[in-house]
Amino acid sequence: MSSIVSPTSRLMALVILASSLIALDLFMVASTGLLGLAIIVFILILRVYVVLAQTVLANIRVITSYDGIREGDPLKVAYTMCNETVVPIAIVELSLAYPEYLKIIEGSPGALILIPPRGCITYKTVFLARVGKHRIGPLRAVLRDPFGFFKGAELKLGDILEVSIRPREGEVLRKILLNIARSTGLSKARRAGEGSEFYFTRDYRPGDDLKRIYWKALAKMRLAVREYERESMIYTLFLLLIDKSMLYGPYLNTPLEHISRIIAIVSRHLAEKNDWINSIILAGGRLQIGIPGRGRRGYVNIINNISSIDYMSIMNDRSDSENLKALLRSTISTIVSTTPRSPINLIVIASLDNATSVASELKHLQYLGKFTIHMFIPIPHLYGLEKISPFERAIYRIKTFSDTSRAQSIVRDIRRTGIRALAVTPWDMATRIIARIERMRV
Amino acid sequence: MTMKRKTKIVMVSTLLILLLLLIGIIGILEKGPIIIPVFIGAHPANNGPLGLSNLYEMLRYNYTVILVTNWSKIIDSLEECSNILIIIVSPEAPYKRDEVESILDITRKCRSTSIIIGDETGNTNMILEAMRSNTRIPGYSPEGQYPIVYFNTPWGWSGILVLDRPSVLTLLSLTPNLTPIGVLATTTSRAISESTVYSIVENLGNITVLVVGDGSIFLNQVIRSNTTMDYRGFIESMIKFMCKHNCTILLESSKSQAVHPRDAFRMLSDPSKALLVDPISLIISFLVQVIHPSTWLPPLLDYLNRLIFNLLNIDYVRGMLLLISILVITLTIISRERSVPDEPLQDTIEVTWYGHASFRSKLLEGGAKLDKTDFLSLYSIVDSLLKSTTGVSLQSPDIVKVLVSRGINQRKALDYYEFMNKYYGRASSKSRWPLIVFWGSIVRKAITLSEDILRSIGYSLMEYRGVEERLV
Repeated sequence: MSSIVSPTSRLMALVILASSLIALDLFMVASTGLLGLAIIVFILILRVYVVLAQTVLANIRVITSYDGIREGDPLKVAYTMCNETVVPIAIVELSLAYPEYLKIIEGSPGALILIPPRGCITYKTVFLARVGKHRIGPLRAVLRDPFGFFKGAELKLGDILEVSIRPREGEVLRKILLNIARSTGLSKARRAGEGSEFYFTRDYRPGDDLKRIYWKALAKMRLAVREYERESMIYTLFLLLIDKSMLYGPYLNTPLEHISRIIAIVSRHLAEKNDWINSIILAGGRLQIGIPGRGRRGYVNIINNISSIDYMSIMNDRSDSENLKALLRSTISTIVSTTPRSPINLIVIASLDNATSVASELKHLQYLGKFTIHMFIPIPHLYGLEKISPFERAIYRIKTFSDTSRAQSIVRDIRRTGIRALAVTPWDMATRIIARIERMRV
Repeated sequence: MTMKRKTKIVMVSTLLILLLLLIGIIGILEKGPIIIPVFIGAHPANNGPLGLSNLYEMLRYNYTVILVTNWSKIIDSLEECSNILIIIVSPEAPYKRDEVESILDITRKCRSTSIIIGDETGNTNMILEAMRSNTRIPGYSPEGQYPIVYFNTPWGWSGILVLDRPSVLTLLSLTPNLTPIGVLATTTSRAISESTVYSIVENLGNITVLVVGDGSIFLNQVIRSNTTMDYRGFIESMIKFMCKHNCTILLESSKSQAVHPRDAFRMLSDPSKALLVDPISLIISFLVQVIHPSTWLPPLLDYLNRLIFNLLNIDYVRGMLLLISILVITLTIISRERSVPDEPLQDTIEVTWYGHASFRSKLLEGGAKLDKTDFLSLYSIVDSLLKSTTGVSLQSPDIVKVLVSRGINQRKALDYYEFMNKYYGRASSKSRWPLIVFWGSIVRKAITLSEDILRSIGYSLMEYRGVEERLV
């Protein structure tokens, strides 16, 4: 009994008061004995109630639900608690356990509730969804009597919700992509050749297969043949190496979120062209190997892989450079064994801290011939430029100039290994990555 | 290596155990004490001189023995009913009709039945009648004490035994099936009369009846006695004969009166009856009574009640007692209940992670300090950008012309060139002039001047899209 309900310091004061009242009566100082006894009885009744209510609360039926799967949308979380007994549960203090990096935009992280007998009560809160896998809940609950004399042990109500949020393909990014694709004339990998998709008609030339003659044109007294679009086999593999620095930055605008959106839009673009696409993510000392696919299936696989990135495992990752190297080797052997023999565009996105190690391991892949490696390195400290005044921004730039110089030298060193490396800033990351990928499809 | 601290897990609290104990005691109290009866007559549970415990031990050693406390139920409990021997010794009450019927049932259902009756009271006559025996037991006559009886048995045992206070058997007719086996020692075989026969064997079809007009030969005091007369041999050979091969023995235990332990205690005061009581049985029975809560709890509670009542009648004692009680209760509550601070639950504190987080927050609070290193960084930024876009270094005097060509005022361009290089020399220790420099204000001024210059070549320090576009 004592383990589930504990008295507060208020109760101790009340017990001493009641005892004093009885003692005063005994020594005939004042007629307060009855009052003292009444207080003692009241305390006992209160305690019985709190123990009862705590037992009911511990066995309460909790239904958990959430709504919202896309980044930037409201992520609505609800815990419905149903009291099936005749004992009212008052007063319960609730506090929702959720990752510190998530932001509540509507509702409160805590609440004071009263659950009526044979009734239900729902606690709702709304987060601003951000990409990745997040664990929300359970509800922490502490019961107190209405006077605060007794306090129940902390209980955990409901399940932990595992929420996977997909990246949002913003309109801005789509426009950037379309602009770049049009300007480079690469909106489709169009070349005449053997294929199934109609491309254009041209005049008949001696030697053309009779099966290709365009009979409708013959009706107009023109001898023409059909040309079909050549089917190209392009395999693009995204390799994301995520560490803590990728989570630095304003809400919804961290390097990770930025990259996720870019990969989402690019993979959709590639999927529309029916290219083979896949992703491998190394995050929090864990390797998430995607399933290769072409078209929509490939796109969905990539989105699922991105939405499985676990923030907490990244923040709690304690693996050293040796662990990273071992994981990278494992990643490379996976890449080599699971990719086809055709040319492969390997898009590597690594943090500034890991870039050199990653490049030194990946450079060997180039010798296999089939890999074209492009490495993009976001500069994390530049994400801190948002939400500060212009003059302070200048000071920030000056103070962090050593990091910028470091990024410069790292990129220079990596380029020497033959890998096309690029340090990208928050404002030009999308343009640069999309442009580079589009150029690769030439 | 970390030491694991041993933790004591209390599965059931002491309070609960005490509560259950109290409930148990009340339950036992409510049920009343267990009374272990004391047998003083011919009963297998009587270890005294008049008991049959020795006979029972003797039988149990060689045979399967069932103590019969209820004749009507015994037939159902018999597993094997081929060979049954019923032994009845000195029953203290006559048999009822249903009991006799039950015995007859056994004789009917079992293949062969033998009955040994050692009776001087005549209480077994109903059984003999029911089995159509020609023998009756008229009862003990005072003039026939301690007769010397000569036994000549069909199983080969013969000898003289002294009986206690037997009953002479009445033989209704002398048939060939009836054989007197115990007669008064002075009587010759030719002069057997009703008054001299003490034991017979009678064959009644599948029933063999052996009657001895005295049950005392089976009692403990006789079996234990060290006389020249072989009572034990007589009994053993008799049972062996009656049992034939392998039999189940039903030993009568229903006709011996049990005495309440309290009455048994009273008997101890009477020297003539004291010997009849087995002291060990009596002590066990007494202990069971004493230990039982019904013996000691009500008087104890009564005593405590009276004690408290008497104490409460004394004024100062009453006050002191109540005060002590309150103190004890209060202290018990306070010591048992460990109070906890009533603090609210800690909600999750939302954070946004940044690189250089501490510096950034200091900057937002306006507490960032600038020094000559920052001036050198700024110089380096501007110099790199100018070199990469115009091809001319900030250190070069030609930069003034370049800047003018980019739309910067001649005077402003020159001032900027001189300002930056003057403090660059001071910051990089190439020059000692000016002697006193407030780097904070100098860097701030340099930032403002540089912003104008950088904007002329298409870059900015203060815009979000800034100099890094070119630098990286």
